[in-house]
Amino acid sequence: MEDFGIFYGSQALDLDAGLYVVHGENGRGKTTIINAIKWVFFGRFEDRQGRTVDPKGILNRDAKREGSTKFSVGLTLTDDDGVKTIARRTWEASGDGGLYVERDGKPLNQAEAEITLQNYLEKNVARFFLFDGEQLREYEELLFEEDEATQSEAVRRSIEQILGLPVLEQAITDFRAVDKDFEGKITKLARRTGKTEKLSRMVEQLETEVAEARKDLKGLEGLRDAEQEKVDQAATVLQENEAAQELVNQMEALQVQLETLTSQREERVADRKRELADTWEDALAIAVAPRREALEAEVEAHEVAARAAYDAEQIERSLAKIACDLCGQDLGDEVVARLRARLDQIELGEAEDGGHDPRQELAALLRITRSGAISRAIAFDERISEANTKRVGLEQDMEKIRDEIGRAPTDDIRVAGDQHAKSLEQIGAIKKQIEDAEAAINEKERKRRDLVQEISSNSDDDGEMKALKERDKLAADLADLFAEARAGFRDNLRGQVERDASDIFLRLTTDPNHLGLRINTGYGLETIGPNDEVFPTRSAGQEQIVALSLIGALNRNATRQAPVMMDTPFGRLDKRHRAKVLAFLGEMADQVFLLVHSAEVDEADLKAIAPHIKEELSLKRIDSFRTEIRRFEANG
Amino acid sequence: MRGSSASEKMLEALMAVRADKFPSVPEDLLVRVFELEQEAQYETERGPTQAMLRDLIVDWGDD
Amino acid sequence: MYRLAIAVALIVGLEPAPVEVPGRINYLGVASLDPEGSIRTAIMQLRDEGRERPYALGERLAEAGIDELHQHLDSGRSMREFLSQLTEFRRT
Repeated sequence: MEDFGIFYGSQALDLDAGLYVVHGENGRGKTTIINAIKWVFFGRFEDRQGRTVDPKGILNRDAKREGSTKFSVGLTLTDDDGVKTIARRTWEASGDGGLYVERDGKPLNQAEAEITLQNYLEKNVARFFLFDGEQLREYEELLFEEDEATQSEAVRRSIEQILGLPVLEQAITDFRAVDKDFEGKITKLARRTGKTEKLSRMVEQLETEVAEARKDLKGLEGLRDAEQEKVDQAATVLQENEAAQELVNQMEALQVQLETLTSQREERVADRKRELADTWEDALAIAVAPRREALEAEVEAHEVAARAAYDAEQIERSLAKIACDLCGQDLGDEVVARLRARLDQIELGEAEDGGHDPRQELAALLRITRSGAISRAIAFDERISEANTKRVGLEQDMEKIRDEIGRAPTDDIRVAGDQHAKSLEQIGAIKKQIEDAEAAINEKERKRRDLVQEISSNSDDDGEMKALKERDKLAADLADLFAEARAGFRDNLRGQVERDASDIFLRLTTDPNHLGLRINTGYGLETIGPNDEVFPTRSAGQEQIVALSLIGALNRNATRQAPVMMDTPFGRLDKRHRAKVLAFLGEMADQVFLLVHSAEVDEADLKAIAPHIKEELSLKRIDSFRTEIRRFEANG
Repeated sequence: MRGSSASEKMLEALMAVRADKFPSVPEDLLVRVFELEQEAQYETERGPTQAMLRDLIVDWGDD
Repeated sequence: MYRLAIAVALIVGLEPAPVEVPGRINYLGVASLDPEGSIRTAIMQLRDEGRERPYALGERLAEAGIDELHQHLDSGRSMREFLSQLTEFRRT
């Protein structure tokens, strides 16, 4: 590395087969070493948020202060045959930087250079060899997807690439192409005889159409892959910010509540206003109530008096006649005495005549009635007060959440969420188009084959034609043979990966209820317990162990072996798991490179595996912008 | 290349399918084309490889 | 507000404002203000001493009622309290 990141000047790591442990505190450059490797292979790398790091910021600061305008990373790879590949990628502020690759002493041109590096470590495959324990999200998408339909195609393909399946797939493609080639020759030959000229022309027409259709199909596939990358990037951002996302959701819910509350309050305000306009009637009724009651009493008294007067009149008439006024019967002395007493009583209670007619006044007042407007106005006012209180409460809650969200990039999260959904939709649509396109192509191919068949059977079997037909059949057979082998092979391999992953998992897990791992067609892994039950959730530490199990299994079954580099692989593991993982790591690959900090792994942990450690190094802080790679000293 | 065990398994699978369903395909041709495919597995341009396969098939036919 | 103020004055038994106060309140058309004559009825039955026209008395009562409301609000109490008190008012 030259002036790369925190590594000032020229610093190198000379690695052989074996287990290396590099100690470094946070910020001392552990991740930078892995990024340096990514830099050579891909010309870029991402930060923790999944964003591509601007090269300008990679140049070592001290070097920059001294006037340097470039940095570079060189990598020497030796394969099992001893062939050395040297690659160096340089960045120059002026834009002059580039990639230089030499294989077996011979410099390669740009295209060959990029392809060679791709052969060694393709981007999608990198995650299985450059393992960042902190960035579990990359593995979560791999390990959590039970739904094959949403499982990233790219991930599945990259695993199959490690396992070597592309060889078989390409063989199928190649043989089909050769087959077509021979068919083309057959067609041309048949044309010469004239009998089958028309058929030949139809074949050629179809071939042209198919070629066009394949071009379009490639375009569609490109679009699909582009959208998938957008999905992956968005998923990364979302997972990184899950907690913030949750807060954003809460915030939005509160916002909705606030809006509902506000509109309800406005309605109540309008209601209150309406009722207030009518309160005067209510108040007026209250005002006149005492008077009304008084008048009612007067009217009552009047009526009582009137009744009494009438009674008195009746009695006086009876007394005058000394006979009942009603039935004419003679009154006895006793009755007369009673009537007289009664008359006295009545006369005592006669009402005064006030001189005004209370009934008319009362009738006028009775028209003034309570409408209930005041009570209703009061009720609405209370509701408005409640709403005000609630609003204050909501605003306080929202304020709290706003603080918590803090510097989380809520806009980025929202954008990522939208992008994720949008791109998934796009992918769905494009996939359908791809399906249709493939179906159409297959249909045309079928027709073409039928036509070629017809040509073949209608043409004379001279020596040349016979030979061509034989070769054609051979090519077709080979294509079919590889196709069939591929299907079986893939299933076997997946089974093998499952067995190996399960095997490793059982060595690493500490939970006695874990009985193994199961793999689905998307290479997602499920933890299996007693009675074949699937564990629905896994802790972060368990995720890491499952990820390690998959990586270990892939390494065991890969067609090519690569070094495995791990940055803080123990971050989420407890002591027991750590011990188990440490014990296993040495066997994961021929070359294993562990980057750890002191809180993750202590002397005791390492002592247990000391015999397996090839070398221990440390990243020594020189100053804020400089780290040096040194041999590890226990007290250093 | 450590990958031999994986490649061996692939070849085994191919041979088994051949014996079972495609006995007319010559064994040695199968081995040869498989080797070719392995060498060319990272080529993005398939033209040259396909040309070689074509020639192989023609040669075998001539035997 | 005007009508309510009159009612308030009637309920509480306020003294009508003196005639000379420059009216803040505009005397609106009777037809729209008191279509059923209930205000006139109330004033006549409760306060009329035959010395002035009911609506003229009403103006002065309204003035008094508004003052009463303002005093209430100025002391920091609410409209709701005011209305509540009205419903509970019982002149002794």
